[in-house]
Amino acid sequence: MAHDIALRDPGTAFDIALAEGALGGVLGMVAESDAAQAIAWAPKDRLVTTVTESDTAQAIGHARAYTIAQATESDGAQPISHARAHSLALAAETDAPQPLAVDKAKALGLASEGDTAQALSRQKADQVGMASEADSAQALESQKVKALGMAAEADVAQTITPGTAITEAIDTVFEVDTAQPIAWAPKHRLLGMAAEFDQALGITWAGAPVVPPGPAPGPVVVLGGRRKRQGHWPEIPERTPLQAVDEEEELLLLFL
Amino acid sequence: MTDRLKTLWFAAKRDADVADATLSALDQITVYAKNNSRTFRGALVWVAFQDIVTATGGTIGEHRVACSVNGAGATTITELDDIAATGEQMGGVLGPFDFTAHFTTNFPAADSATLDLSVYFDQTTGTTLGMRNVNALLALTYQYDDNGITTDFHTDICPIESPAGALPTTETELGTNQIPQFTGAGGDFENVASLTERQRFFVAEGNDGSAASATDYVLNLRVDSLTTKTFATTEKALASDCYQRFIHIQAGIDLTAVHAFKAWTTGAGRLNMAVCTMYTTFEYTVSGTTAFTQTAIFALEIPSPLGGTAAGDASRFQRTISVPEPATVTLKQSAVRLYFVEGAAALGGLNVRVGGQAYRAYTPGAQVVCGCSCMQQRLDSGGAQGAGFASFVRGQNIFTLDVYRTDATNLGWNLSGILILRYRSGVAAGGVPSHTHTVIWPVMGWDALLNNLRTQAAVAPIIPETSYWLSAIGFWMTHWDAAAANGIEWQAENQSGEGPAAGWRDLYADVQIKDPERSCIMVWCRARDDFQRHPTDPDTDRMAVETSRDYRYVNVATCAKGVVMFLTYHSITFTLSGTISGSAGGTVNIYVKKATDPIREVLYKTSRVGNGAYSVSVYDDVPDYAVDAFEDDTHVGASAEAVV
Repeated sequence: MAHDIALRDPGTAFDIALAEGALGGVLGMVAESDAAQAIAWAPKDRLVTTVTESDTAQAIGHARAYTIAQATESDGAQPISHARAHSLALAAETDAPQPLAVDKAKALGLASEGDTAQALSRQKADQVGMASEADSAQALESQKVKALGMAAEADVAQTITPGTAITEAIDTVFEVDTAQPIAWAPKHRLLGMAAEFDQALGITWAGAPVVPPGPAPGPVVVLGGRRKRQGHWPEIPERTPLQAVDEEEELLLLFL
Repeated sequence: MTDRLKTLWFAAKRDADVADATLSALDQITVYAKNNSRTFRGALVWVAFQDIVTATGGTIGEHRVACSVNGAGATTITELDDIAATGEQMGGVLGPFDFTAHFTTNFPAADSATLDLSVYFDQTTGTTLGMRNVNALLALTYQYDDNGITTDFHTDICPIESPAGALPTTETELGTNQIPQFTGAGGDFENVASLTERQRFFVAEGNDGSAASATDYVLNLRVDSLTTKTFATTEKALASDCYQRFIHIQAGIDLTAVHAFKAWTTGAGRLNMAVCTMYTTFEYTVSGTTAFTQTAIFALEIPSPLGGTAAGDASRFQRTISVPEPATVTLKQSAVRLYFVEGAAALGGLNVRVGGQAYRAYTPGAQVVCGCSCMQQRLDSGGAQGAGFASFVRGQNIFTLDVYRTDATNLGWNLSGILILRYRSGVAAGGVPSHTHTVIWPVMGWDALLNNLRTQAAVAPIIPETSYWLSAIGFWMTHWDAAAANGIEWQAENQSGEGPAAGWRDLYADVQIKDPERSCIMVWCRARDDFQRHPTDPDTDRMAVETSRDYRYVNVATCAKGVVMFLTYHSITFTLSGTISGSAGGTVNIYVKKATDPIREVLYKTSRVGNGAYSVSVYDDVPDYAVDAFEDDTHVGASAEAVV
């Protein structure tokens, strides 16, 4: 039998992984599609840490790989769900998570685009570590997501609020419009940080002092909050006299 | 033209005693060597003797061996160094005496010639002088071209299983029909065309096993109802337990049937665990030979002392046996043979098994240890313990030997030996000479000078085949000392490109305890792990077998010695091939491994430039191979795992 060898870049292709896959071992990374197809045909694959392209995942799915830590493109994830993969730690593009949701993926550590989260929420994903776009969060909220570590855009938070009840923590809201509806939400216990000045305005509407940038308009005592210094967000002690809002601080957030 | 290397074995003997200080001829024999661009590589003689002194011990002040081929003027090797007696009798083997040059000069163009060997012993002490049961074993190694030859020669070495203890005192068959059928339906050489026996002889060796008794004994050997060979009386007046070797040349054994082999000693049961081996040198017609039974010798070693005193602490030796010859492969009569020094007295309880066999219990009997002991146990289904392989197949077979003692005082020392493996197969495309076989190469000729260090310069074996796989490589050492304890080392000098590229490496290192008596001890060194397995072996820590190098024999207590190298190899090749694609046009290094190897050691290496076909000669077509390729960091790959 011919021992043919196709040379590839190990960054995107692992023929060695192919060989190991045939033995049912561990395959650390599969970077291209054709390689993974062959692996799938090997009956004993147990673990594929990363799948980065679509055709790859198809084949793996057919071979019933149990774990795919990360899928970065959409078509890949589709067939994975067909194979009932149990865990998809990170789905990086929109279309990919859709079929996962359909197949009841149990955990999606991070969904980074909107359509992804929609599908997940429809299938009652229990945990989403981070949703980075608005539409995602909508759907999530409507399905009683219990924890949303970070919502990065405005529309997300809006929806969360009317979703009521169960969202317990939102550490950070990065944009202005986001904060507005958060303030409207009666039951948020903690809003750790609003990341832009306009947010603070919105927060004010919910009862916080207004401190625009520039010199302080007379003696002001901060009731609480955080300010951004050199990329960090140190907490401002309660009742700290505020002389001015330094423009170099970029943002000043007040805490309710 | 395909040059081959072959060793044929012959024996000569003398029934009458050798008178003291008298050059005495052994019976003339005819020896054979195919002449087709023939070059003699080794004509090595080991002489066995027994002294017959009845008091004092007989020091040998001078000894000689003379060799005459085809009636030419004899070449005589003379040793003037004393073999000093220690108050005990002396018996054993001296050698090798190297007559290669004499054969080169005097062997006629024909395929055969007469050989006359003579011996001379001058004893300077002792009450009854002269030597008895003198014989000679000849290993004749030559290179020849097997292309176009119509007939060829071969020596089959067939082991016979030892008795468990002393030989019986009445005519008794050892085992059952231990002389196998050679020709005809069911014979070991059934499909060998026109097999013609040239010489058949039996070597019987072992320790006297007198157990401190001074009773003489007489060894008798007999095949079925053929004439009994009754050797001259072995003198035991000094109750010494020497290593002895007898040779019985027996013509006329019907090759078409199995036969009983009988051995017994009269006077007293002696020669415990006698090791008997049948050598058959024959000529056959190449055309029409469609199957063959090869003899392959593999050395084995067991670190001293022997494990014991129960089976749970047994010593174990294990190695893989590769069988590349074509189907159908069938294990034939085969055995493992051990040489060892019992201790300062008899080793009580020796137990041996191979693979799944039950242990076989032996009774050594060297009380006054004046030489090594030995035993031989079959591992084919016809032996006393049944087969030692669950199955014996083409490809890889695992040989496992377990040995333990029950004695807590005399522990068994300096253990080594050989596996004599005979198996039948089809004939490879390269012919029978390409099959696995064992050849003997001269290394260090016999020298009776006692010393602690002896160096042999510039030993350079020649294997004529371009491609070969060394299944086994080792050294057979004949060692004489008179020390109660000794340590023995056999070393080779590293050459450029071999491991540290200089200095000496141990090939064999062991120790022994015995009586401080002049003793003949046989040692087999296994050295394959130190040598390249094939001519392009990528393991740079291994030594190239054909590279000229020095060897040296090191021992704590002075000894006399002689050493030969044995090489067990085949030149059956298979082609592993494939195609490289995706190359950037640079040099692609290609590494071939056995997929079944748990550590995936690289066995073969090649390279090519850019895309295209590659091929590698491999020596086993049974296992799956895995091939890796590397051009640079962004051009790597691997093949599927598959057979060639």
